[in-house]
Amino acid sequence: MRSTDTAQESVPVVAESPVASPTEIQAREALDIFIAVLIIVALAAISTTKRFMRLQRNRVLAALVAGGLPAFIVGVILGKNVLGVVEGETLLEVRPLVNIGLSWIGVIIGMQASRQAVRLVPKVLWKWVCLDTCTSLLISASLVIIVGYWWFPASGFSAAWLLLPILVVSTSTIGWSPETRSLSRNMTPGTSTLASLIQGGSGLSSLIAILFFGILSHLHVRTATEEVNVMPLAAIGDVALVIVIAVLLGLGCRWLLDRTSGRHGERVLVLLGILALLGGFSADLGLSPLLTSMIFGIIIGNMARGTKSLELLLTGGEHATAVFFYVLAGALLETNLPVQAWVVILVLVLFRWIVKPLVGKWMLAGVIEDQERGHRLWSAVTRQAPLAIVIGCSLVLMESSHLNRSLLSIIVIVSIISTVMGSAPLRVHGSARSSASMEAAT
Amino acid sequence: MSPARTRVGHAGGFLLLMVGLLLIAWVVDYQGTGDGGLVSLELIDAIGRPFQPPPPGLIGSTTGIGLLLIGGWIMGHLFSIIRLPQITGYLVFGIVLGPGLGMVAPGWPLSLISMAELQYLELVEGLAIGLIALIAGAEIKIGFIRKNSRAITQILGIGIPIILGGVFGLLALSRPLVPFLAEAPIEQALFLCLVVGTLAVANSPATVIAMFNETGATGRLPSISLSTTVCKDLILVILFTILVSVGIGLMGDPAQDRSNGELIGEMAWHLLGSMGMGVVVAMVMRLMITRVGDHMVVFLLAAGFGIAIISETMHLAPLLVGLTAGFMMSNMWPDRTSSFFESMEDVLLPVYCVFFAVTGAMISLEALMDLWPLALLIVGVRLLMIWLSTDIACRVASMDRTTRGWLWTTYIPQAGVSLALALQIQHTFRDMPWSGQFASVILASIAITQLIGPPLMRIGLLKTRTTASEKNA
Repeated sequence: MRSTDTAQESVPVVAESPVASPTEIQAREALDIFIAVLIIVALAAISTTKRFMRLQRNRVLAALVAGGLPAFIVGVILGKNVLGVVEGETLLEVRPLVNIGLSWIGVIIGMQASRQAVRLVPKVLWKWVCLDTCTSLLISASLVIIVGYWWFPASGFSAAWLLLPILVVSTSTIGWSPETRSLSRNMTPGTSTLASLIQGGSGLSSLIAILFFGILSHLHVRTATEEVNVMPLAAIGDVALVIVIAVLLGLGCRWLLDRTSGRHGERVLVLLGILALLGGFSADLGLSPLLTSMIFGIIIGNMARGTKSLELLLTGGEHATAVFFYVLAGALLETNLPVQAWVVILVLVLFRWIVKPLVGKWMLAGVIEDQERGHRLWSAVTRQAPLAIVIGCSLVLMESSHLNRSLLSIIVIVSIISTVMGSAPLRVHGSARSSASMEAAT
Repeated sequence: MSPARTRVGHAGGFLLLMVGLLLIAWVVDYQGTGDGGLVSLELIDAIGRPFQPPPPGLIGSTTGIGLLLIGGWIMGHLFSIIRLPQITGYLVFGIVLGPGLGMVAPGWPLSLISMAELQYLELVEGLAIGLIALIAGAEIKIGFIRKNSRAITQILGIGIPIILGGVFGLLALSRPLVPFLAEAPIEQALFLCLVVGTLAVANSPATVIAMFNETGATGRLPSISLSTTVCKDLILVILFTILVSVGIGLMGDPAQDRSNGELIGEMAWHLLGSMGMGVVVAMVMRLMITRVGDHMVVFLLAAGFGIAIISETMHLAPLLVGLTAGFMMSNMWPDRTSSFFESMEDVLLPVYCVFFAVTGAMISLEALMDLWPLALLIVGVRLLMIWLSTDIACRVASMDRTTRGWLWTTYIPQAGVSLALALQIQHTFRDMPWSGQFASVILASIAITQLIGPPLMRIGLLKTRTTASEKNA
């Protein structure tokens, strides 16, 4: 960024390094980043315009937008596969921004787990989420092990090599999309309960997915001699350290927020600083920032006061953060996936389409009426949770290998297919047009 | 609880938090693989495909930003409790955490930000330059300049020759005592004296604006100060263009095979192109402002980032681009752009924290340790000349006593402009035997100025404010 022949306010005071800066972002890369930032601003701005809001009265469009489809498409078009304007690799160069984004998501998810909210979760929802998690983990882990035998011959089929692929595919399979707005027309008390359970279940599943991914990814250690190992003791130490860091930062953040004297700039500073620390400390330890920031979010969310301003700031930037990850995932998409990856995609889509609603209907049998068993709200359960994309991006950030980008692509494709398939009942029911009743219901 | 006890309590809390933060950072730095391992290896994934690990410094840069933001802000608060400027706190925090202290005192445990990480923070620096330039331009009101053009011209007309002449004279007279001047041929030595004199004229709009924000200074003094600071830097860039051409005429251009004509053309593009781009940026932003709605902060960041990147790509001066854009926006479309500049308040504090802390982290303590007597002498003469020239100019312009007494303090801080120009000279004449020592002297004197400038300026601004409120009462 620095040009030594300009009269700018840059401050390169230390004697120049003898070699050319390895980290100087070249003009081309810098332009890429700028274009990406501009696109995110433009998409975020467009998505809050009245005209775009009106468009979303169309249920199909609303569902596709909630699934991040437009942002994915923009990412794919701009990425290396189509126009090549924005290279996904270049976006990864803005690692601080990506880390802060991951922390942002983690904190938002963690803040949902306040004591009051957890107390309100009915037993049946716990059961449903537990069974869904177990089936998701079981099926997706078995799938990756079977396909992995065929796909990763170079790995020698060891647990250390298989751990991350299993982990990322299984955690992305946990849960479902919380978006029920496009599906909830002519609501009855029964369907309202069902919508609430779906939303609550999605939130709980997100917490569980991060917990699994965060803790188990600590097991994967790559040594300086290039070996990949599973080290449970090191993982326990790291998890303990991460918890201590999150707790201390939570307490410190609360104290700092009390002293920001109501200045918006100071609150922004504390928020950005804490998010950068959460993301940075995790990255320094070779981990994903999601777990640290989620624990931090849980602590902040359970504090009696002083955190409302933080919550408002966080939710204010939620949309732009989500758009950023969708564009990033789209730009990183690998199109030349091997047959094995397509098998994984097919099985995961079928699992979402067939098994997930079945599990849900079985677990909620005593809570919902027969008429709700066939309600289109169930298609929300078939859609992949947006968190899966974030987990995939987090994996690529940890190691930007071809395999990891392929795994992210699997998640992206499953997300797109499940979103499109999840929107199908809307057309089947002939309810693509908006109606006042929908707005009233939501 | 009495205010004094409350303040002590706050200071204790901030200190405790600072210690805790540094302790966590140290433990993570010790425990983590961070940027230490896997630097140059090509790794293999499970399907046998090779991939590169992130380059050194990239992983730790996120922690660097977090530490500089939170730690710098806490240090700023601690400094304000002991009545020192907050930006000095940010600078000192940067020095404590940066690589400079580790070079001077090997084994310093708090060198948590490496040189490689600092290079990544240049991205934030570029953003800071863009935003600071925008706000500096917006602060210059055309009406005020018209009304005070006489005073501004007098300050510049008197100040520039006196400061330049004073520092030039000092170095020329002490030539036999300064090794790199004594060893250089007379014409080269005089050229270097002239360069140091010209650099002594430079100010720091970033520091000036940050100090105005911090002290809440308003009125004639800040306006005159900012207008003259910005105009001075513009004149400095032109002066420097001429100087570099003279230097190349004297010594040739060992760095690049460029003729004088090419060099002048390049510099003209640098100046006029930057201003032209500033106009374009202003017009684009004017169109977009009404369309961004609630995303003003994100838009602001994109604007700052955009100015930095466009300037880098087109070899323009981001400071000039931003200044021109800010000036045009606030003077031509004040109603339409007011929300933009109001939103800037929200992002300026984090930007200042990182910008000044990075500045501190980059200060070369080694150079300071080696050449502090000469650097101190240059700083002392510069201060004297600034005071003298400002006092004369204020008397000529019949300014009130308060302005006359304290305006000079706002011209002390120096940072990026002088550094960038010094490094330009070093780069252009890097094959000359004096280039290394020359750069070290400049860097050392700027480091001293950066540490003493903000506290002196704060005293000046607070005295002015007190006097003004006494008058009002």
